[in-house]
Order: sequence, then structure tokens, then C-alpha cells
Amino acid sequence: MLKKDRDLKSRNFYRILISIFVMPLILFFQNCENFTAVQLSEPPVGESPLANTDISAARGLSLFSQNCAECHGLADTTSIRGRIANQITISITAVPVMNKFSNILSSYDIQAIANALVIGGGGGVVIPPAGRPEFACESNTFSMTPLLKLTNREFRNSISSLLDDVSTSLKNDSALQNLMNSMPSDSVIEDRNLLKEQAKLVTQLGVTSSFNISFRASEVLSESSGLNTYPNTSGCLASGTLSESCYISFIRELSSRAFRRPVSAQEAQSISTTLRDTSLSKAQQIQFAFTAITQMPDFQYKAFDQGAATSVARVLTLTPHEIAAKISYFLTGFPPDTQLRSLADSGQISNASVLRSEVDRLLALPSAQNTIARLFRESYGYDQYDSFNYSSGFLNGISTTNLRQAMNSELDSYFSNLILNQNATFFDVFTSRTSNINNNDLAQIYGVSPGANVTLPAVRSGFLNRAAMLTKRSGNRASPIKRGLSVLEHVLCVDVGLPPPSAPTSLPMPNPNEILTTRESTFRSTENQGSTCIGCHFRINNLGYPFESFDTLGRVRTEERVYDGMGAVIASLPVNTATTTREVTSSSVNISHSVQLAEALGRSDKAIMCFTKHLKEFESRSNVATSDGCQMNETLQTLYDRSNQQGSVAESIRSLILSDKFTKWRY
Amino acid sequence: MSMYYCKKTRRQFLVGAGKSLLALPLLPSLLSREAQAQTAVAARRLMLFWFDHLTLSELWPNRAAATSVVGTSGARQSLLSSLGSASSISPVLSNSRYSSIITRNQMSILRGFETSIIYGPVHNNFAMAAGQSIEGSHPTIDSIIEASRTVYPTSTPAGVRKALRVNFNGGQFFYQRVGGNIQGLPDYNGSEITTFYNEVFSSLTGGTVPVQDLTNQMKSNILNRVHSAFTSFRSGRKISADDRSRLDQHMDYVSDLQRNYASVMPPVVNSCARPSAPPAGAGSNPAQYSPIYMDLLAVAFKCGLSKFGTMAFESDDPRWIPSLDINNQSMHAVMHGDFGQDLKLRAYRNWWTYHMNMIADRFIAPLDEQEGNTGRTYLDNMATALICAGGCHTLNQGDGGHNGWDSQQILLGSMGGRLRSGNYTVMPRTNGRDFPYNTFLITLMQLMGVPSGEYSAFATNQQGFGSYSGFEANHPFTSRFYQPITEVLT
Repeated sequence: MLKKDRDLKSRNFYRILISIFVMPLILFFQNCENFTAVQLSEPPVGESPLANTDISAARGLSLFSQNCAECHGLADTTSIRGRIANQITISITAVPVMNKFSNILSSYDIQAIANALVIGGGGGVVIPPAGRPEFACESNTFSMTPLLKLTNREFRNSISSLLDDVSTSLKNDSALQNLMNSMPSDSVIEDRNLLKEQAKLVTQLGVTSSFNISFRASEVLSESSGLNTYPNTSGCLASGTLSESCYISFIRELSSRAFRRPVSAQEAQSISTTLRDTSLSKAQQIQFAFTAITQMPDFQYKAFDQGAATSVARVLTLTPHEIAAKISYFLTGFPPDTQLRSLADSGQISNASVLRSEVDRLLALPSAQNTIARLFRESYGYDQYDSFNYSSGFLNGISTTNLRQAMNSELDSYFSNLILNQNATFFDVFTSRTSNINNNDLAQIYGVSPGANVTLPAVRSGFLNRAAMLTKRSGNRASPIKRGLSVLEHVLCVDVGLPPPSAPTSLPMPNPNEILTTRESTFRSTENQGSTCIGCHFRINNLGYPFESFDTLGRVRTEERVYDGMGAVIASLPVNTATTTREVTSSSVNISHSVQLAEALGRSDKAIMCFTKHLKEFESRSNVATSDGCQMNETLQTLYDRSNQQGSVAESIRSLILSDKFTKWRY
Repeated sequence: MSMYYCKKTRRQFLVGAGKSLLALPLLPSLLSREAQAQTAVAARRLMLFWFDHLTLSELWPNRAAATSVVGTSGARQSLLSSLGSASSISPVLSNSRYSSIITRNQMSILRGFETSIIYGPVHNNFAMAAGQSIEGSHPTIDSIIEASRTVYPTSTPAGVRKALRVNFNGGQFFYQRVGGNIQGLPDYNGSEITTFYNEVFSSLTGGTVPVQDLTNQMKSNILNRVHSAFTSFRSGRKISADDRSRLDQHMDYVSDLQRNYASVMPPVVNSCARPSAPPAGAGSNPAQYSPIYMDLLAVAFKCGLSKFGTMAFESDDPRWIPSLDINNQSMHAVMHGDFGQDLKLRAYRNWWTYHMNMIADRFIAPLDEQEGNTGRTYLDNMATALICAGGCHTLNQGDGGHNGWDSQQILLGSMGGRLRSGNYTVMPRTNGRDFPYNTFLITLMQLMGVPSGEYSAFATNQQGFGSYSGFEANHPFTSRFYQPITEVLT
């Protein structure tokens, strides 16, 4: 090999190294404040971090409001939620405008502020003297209930459901399916890497697409003989002409179903007046009516309006039909079915025992599986991949065709099966080894044969050790930073923020004579004593190191292969998965490997609170607020251990619905 | 919570949009149409839609909404578009086409007239087109226009119908021909729609218009209704300001979509070929013949087959209107009877809304497109008057059927720029007396280009159109008798 070629390859190698290590640093430190080195072995406060937290969270909120809110905004929404006392102390030392607080805030005050910023509750966390942490709870407080639009998924399901009332084959119309499949996505990235359906997003493309779907559905419906037996029309639609009384009865029935509430005769007449154009043919009149009604706000939005007043000003109870619609969309993504509508008509759905049995029934429907999958996708973000391009040498015979979809499907089915069929606890979610694998390449990654209810090797315990989670945030090379950040942000709800603008944009060049593992390189680059990065990266990296036993495609490894710039293996180095973290329990914990980390997370109060927050946000499609604390505590208590046995996740969903607050709203 | 999908800040967007807007007028393609093309003068046309009796103040803006003094009479006005959206100006204007028209300053509301309906029992003709207080003295303006040699010179083709009178109002409608006494002139009722079609379009030899794909028109009309539903929803529900703002955004997108479909609608007529004949049996169904008449009238105007038309809506037995919902009463009975305020409000609102929707969808829509190289739409080149036969009264005034005070008239279009359109104009009121309604009729004739000599010749004193014998000698507006309303003319 010519020297020139060697030099070129060497330069390429360093370029790749730099791009692997420096770019993430640039990214993650854009918004961080100046940090100075800190000794992490002991907290900078004299007291135990949890010694006085039963009162300090509330006091911390007050302190935050007095001293921090001017720059950082409200405690509920500040971007620095999740900062621990260590980080706050560092900032006070390092950020000039904050230096003054060294003489104002005691270490106790700083810990109080940190407790108030713990992720999980809108208004912070309370830890009773002899209990486990809870969300701050103020009874009889309500946040404004936003007007939520049907998500794309709910809109499609609702249209299909209306067509099913005429004939169950109508929704299969190929033109309609094409339109439905080509709806512009309403899922956007929130909270870094969480792709969430939007219930408040309105776009021109979305409105146009929705209209086209309604119009095509109306064409299909207007030509169907199924209309002859449309409910509550006495068969009048079978006639060749459309009488006024028939038109009104059709309008009343259709709009009652579309609006998810009873429509009075007077309202039906009013709608009829607005819509009817008798110069059109019968089919066109039906088409006109269906399209218009499914584009009206009563269909497009989950509107609450008619409930009775409560003792709290501007807070109303939901009507039985509003309850039916709310639980149905939440649990199944569909509008209320016949049984739910019937229970709403009779008012029985407002009875707690009836409501509970309906929740059980809905959770047993096939459509609930999709809801559970969405809940966990939006909680833990396993459907996003940074990169999926690998060299053939690295892939070693594994095809990536449809592999991402297979990875996602595996976890979709994992969660829905555990929650809906196995009555799984939160701990089970982090430790179960069951899987349904219908893809040969995924099976090869796991070293098993494809099939249903496969028991995977012990190293695959829980969802964190599955291919989708291990691959999703790793690029061409496994990244402890990305994996750790994923756990910190999504499993523990800690928002470490973006790196500060003052973060260094380059690192010292690695020594070419020293070949390092990814972990070693990461440590040197981000955790050196004296480094400005260590404040955040100590927290991040140590949650990523346990996964070093998996390569970037999620395959088990005991050694890490180090490649040169041309893709040739230049070394194989043993991996190290041991770590120490205080993120899981707030006290320092030694972790040997990822399975142990998963088990610790499965028992972690922080992780349980984080999931509770995810669940509430998924249900309400809004950020949690202080006023949600009491309701979330009810969910929390069902997940916490009772006689050393956690409650099931399904039960936590039930408790959310059965809580008093679920059936109230504020305008 | 952070969202990363939008990389531009709102400020950046606004700054960028502002710069773009500043640059827009400099684009040659956006220079005014008049600057680029030799404009043609379009024929003047007038269409009168007649709403029986009076209307309710509760459905229209307060008189005080007109704030700026105009002229020397004490009349005041404000831009209609400054009073809010169409549906907030009046619930009967819920069709989004009216929003578009108001935005383009092509709707005018003139209010505060004293109508002769208060003086005579045969109020149909007086209120609509006559300027008299005693029956049988003067021709109605439709007859004057029909007889005008200025409007219809001798060179007018034989196939042109000089006045198209359509009347759904049950009994005989009274007009008075020039040189004659009061009499019932021939008009077309619902059952005569085929006759109307045959007579009006007999001169067209281009064959029938091929069957058109009206899908886009239908979509446009659906979206009109959807927009109305959003308006009601927005104002009637308990929602926050933030939610309201998102609904506004949604409504804007619905409007945009509606405009897109409207802009690609096929023209109603192609090279003035004969339109499709009314379907068999249409003449027996008011819900069917009413909109078809409007289609045909629009074609007649666009093809130059007439310059003047009238259409009177039925009020005696309008129960064919889908869900008029007035306890099986006739509109006329409600106008005169005391059935309670709720019923009266609902009756007026629904009756007006139904007809205003039909006018928007079937008459205005096909005319709201560019007319040749005139630089204006057919609609703008003509005047469409929505005539209210009586005054405005309030719900608590009981039987106000013949209340002729504070009468309000609506005009669409500007007659090719001759009408200073786009305003809510309230005429002056002095010592409890309003401005004479005759002046409004003279204004219409002025807009049509009828010289005063062609109508003043029929006045007793030959001072101008109409009789003022019902007005006292000391009426506060005697100086404006026989005059057009100059405040609204350009």
C-alpha cells in the first residue's frame, strides 16, 4: 500500500472518529450552561438528598418562583425540569449571572428546588415521610380542557365506522383506502425522538385530505343498497325518491352517530335546512349530507358541551355520551359502538360498575391492541431510527429489508400481549422474555427461531433489551450516549435539555496509537474530570453503558469490533457493561449489565411515575399540569407494590378512567 | 415539551412574509388589471329579489354601527367589512360566498327608508318597484326600464327579453305598465318554468350544453355549509381563546379549499349555448324550480338575453322549504301574527337564510366570474338587489307586517363601479321620519342608466319618479324628493 493511501485511510479513520464523537457533543451541548468540574462521588449538600423532601418540593416551587422563574420560566414548563441539585450547584458556580445565588440559596434550598423540578408531576413531587413519592396534589383544581381534534387514526376509524353502519364492506373500497393511507402524517416529534399523534394540529393538507376521504366515503355510501335498511329510517331510503321526512330521519340518525350524541328532531331539521338541495338527485343528496356532516366540527372535534355544572366554577361533568366517546376513543381509537351508545342512551355508563365493565370489554377488543402499542411507542419512542445503513460485512447475512417494521411489530405485540393478555405489571414490562417473531432476520439477531410466544434468552429480558430499542438511537456504531439519553428522557422522564451554546465544538484528537472501545472513547470525551460535559453526561452515559453488550443492530456481543475507515476490523476489544448510577432510585446503585438495569427500572418509583405521566398525557393529549396530580396519584397507587406485588398496567389504565376527574372538564 | 418539527420562529416567518408582501406589488404579473388591458364597458344589468314584508332588526347590524358622516344629509356609513365576518353581520349571511363578497367590498346595505307600504294595502308592487303611495298612478320601475330606449335601443335583438318577471308569491303580482293603469302583467310562476325556458332561450341555437361535471360545484357548496357549521360551533360552544384560534385556522383552510373548488368550477354556460331544459315535473316542486329559475336567470344575464329580472319569493305557503320549522305556519301568517318572539325570530332567520343560501349558490356563484375583458366579474358589473318590502322592526313590536319604517335594502355588485359599494349606510332620521324609499328606486334607475327624462315624464309634476302624495308637505326630507341617493353613487 502506498504511503499516500495509508495517510488517506488514516485521515478518513480520524474523520469518522471525530464525526462519531464530536458531533453528538455538539448536538447535546448546544443549550447547556457553563459547567465546571464537580466531584460526583458525594452530593454537594450536607443533608441526605431526600431527608426533607416531604416539604421541600412545595418549598422548592416557591424558591424557584422567587429566584429562578425570571430566567427559566414557570416550574411546570421550564426546560430545566429534571435538573438535580448537583447540576444546579454547578450552574450557580459557573454561570456569572447565577453566582449571586451562592450567597442566597443554601444547599437545602437547592435540594428543595431540585425536588420541585423532578419530572413526573406538573407541580413537582411530594414524598410522604413514610411513603413513596407521589405527585403534588391539589384537589378541586382543574386545568382548561383543550378542544381536541380527532387524530388521523381516529378520523379514519370514525369514517369506517359510519360506513359499517350501512355495510361492512364499504370501507374496503380501494380508492377510499388509498386516500386514507395517503393522509399527511399528524405525528410529529415531541420530547426528542417521541413521535406523537397530534390532536391540536390543523394543516391545509390535513383539511384537504380529510375532505377528500369524506367525499369518497360519501360516494361509496350513496351507492350502497345497505342504505335501504339504515337504522331508524323505516326503510324509506329504499324508495326511488327522497322525501323530506325521510331525508330528515336519515340526517338525524347519521348525525347522531357522527356527533356521538343524540341529535334532537329540531336540530336534525335545522341541519336538513342547511344541507338539503332538492335539485340534486337522491344519491347526490345523501352524498352531500354525509360529506358535510363528517366535515362539521361536531364530528371532527371531541366536543364537550352539555354536562351538568359542578361545585367548581366552569367545571362541568361529562354527559353519558361524552363519557362513552371519551373512553372509546382512548381505549380503541374508534367511536362508541352499539353497546356503548346504548349504555349512554340509558345513562348507565355514568354508573362506576358499568363503566368498569365497559372498560374491560373495550380492552378485550382487537382495536385496544393498537392503542396499547401507540401508548408505548409514544412513551418510549421505539419507532424512530437514526440510521439503518450498514456494511455487508457488519450485517453478516442479515437483510435490513422490512427489518425496522419487524422490530417495531415485535414490541407492539410485546406490549399489547403483556398488558391485555397477561395482566402484566410494570416490572413485567421491563423483564418479560416473551416475544412474537415473524421475521427471520430479527430471529437471527436474537438467535432463535421465528414463532409466536417465543421465550427469548435471558439477556433479552424486557423491552429495553430488544432490537428496536437497541437500534433506534444507534447510528453506524452503538452509542452509549444515545441509549442512555433514551432511558433518561423516556423511561425516567428527566429532561437534561440541549447542550449549551458554549459547549466546545471540538475535542482533542484521539491518539492514533491507542485503540479504544466506544465506552472508553465516550468516557474520555465527556466525563473527564475538569470537562464541562460531565454534569450531564455522567447521568446520561451511565444509563447507556450497560447496553454495551449489544452492537448497533441489537446483536449480543462480548467484544466490540473496532473498524478502520475502510470498514476493516482493526481490533476486537472486550466490552464493559458495569456502571454506577443514581438516576434509578436517587441513591447510588451499582449495575452489572442491562438486564439488571431493566430490573431496577422495573422497580423504580421514578420510572413508574414517569410512565404514569406518559399514560396521562396519552389519554389527555396534553402536557400534564399541577391539577392532574391527584388523578395521576390514583394511577400511581395501582402500579406501586401492594404486599410486594405491583398492580397491573391494565389496572392503572382502569383507575385513570374510573377516577372522578376523568368525567369532568373545565372550560 | 419541545417540538422540533418547525425550524422557523414565528418572528422569522413574519419578517419573511412581510418582505415578500412588500415585494409583491412590484411583480409585473400583479399590476392592476386596468393597467395591462384595455377594459371593455359591460352592459348594465339589474336583478331584484323580493323578500315579502319586513325584516327583523335583531338579524342585522345596529344602526349605530354606521359611524362616518357621508354627504350633507346626515347619512352615516361604515365599511361592511369592518363590521366583522358575514355571519356576524347577519346570521342569514352564513353562506361563505357572502364573506368573500363583503371582503371585496361588493355588498352594500342601505338602511333607514320610509316605504310606501305604510300607506296602501296593495303593498306588493309598491314596495318592490313602485314609487307611489296611491295605487294606479305611476308605472313600476321594471316597466320603465322595459320601456327605456336608453336601456333597450331599437337595435336590441328581437330575442332579448326586456324584463323577466318570476313570481312565486301565490296570487297575482301587480305591476303597472308605462302609459297604463295598475294591472297584473304577465309573469312566470313555478309551474311555468318550462315556458320560461322555451321563451327566453328560444333565440339560442348553439344546442344544449353538454352534461357538465358538477362535482367541484357540489364540493364548493358542501364546504360553504361546513364553514357555516364551524361559525355556529365557534360562537355557541364553551371553548377557550386558544381553541377558538385553532378553529379559526381550521375555518380558514375550509375557506381556502372552498375557493379552490369554486375557481375550477366549469362555467355554467359555454359560448351561450342553450342550457339544459328543466327536468320533467320540476314545475310542481318549488324546491326544484326555485334554484333552476336562478340558474336560468344567471345564464340569461350572462348571455345578454335580458338586462332586467325580478323574482318574488313565496311567503304564503313556504312549508315546502325543508325544515322551515315554524310550527306549520306560513311566513305571511308569522309576519302578521303574534306567535311569540322565538317563533318569529326562527321564522325570519330560517326563511331568509334558506333563500340567501340559494341565491348565493345558484345565482351569484355563476356570475361571480370574470366577464370578458371588463376587468370585473359579471356580479360586479351589475346590481343585484335583495329588496325587503317593509321596514325593520324588533321582536317585541308584535304585528309589524306593514311597518314601513327603517326599511333596509341590500345591493350586491357595483354596476361596473357606478355604485360606491361595500358600505353599511344608514340614512338620516329627523323628527321620527325616515328617508323616502322612492329615492332608492330612482337610484336603481340611475345605475341602470335610465335618464331622468324617461321616468320623470310619468310623474304628475314631472319632477322625477314616484308620487309623494302620502308624504306631508313639511316632511323633513322634501328637498331630497325625486332625487337619487347621491351619497352612494360615484
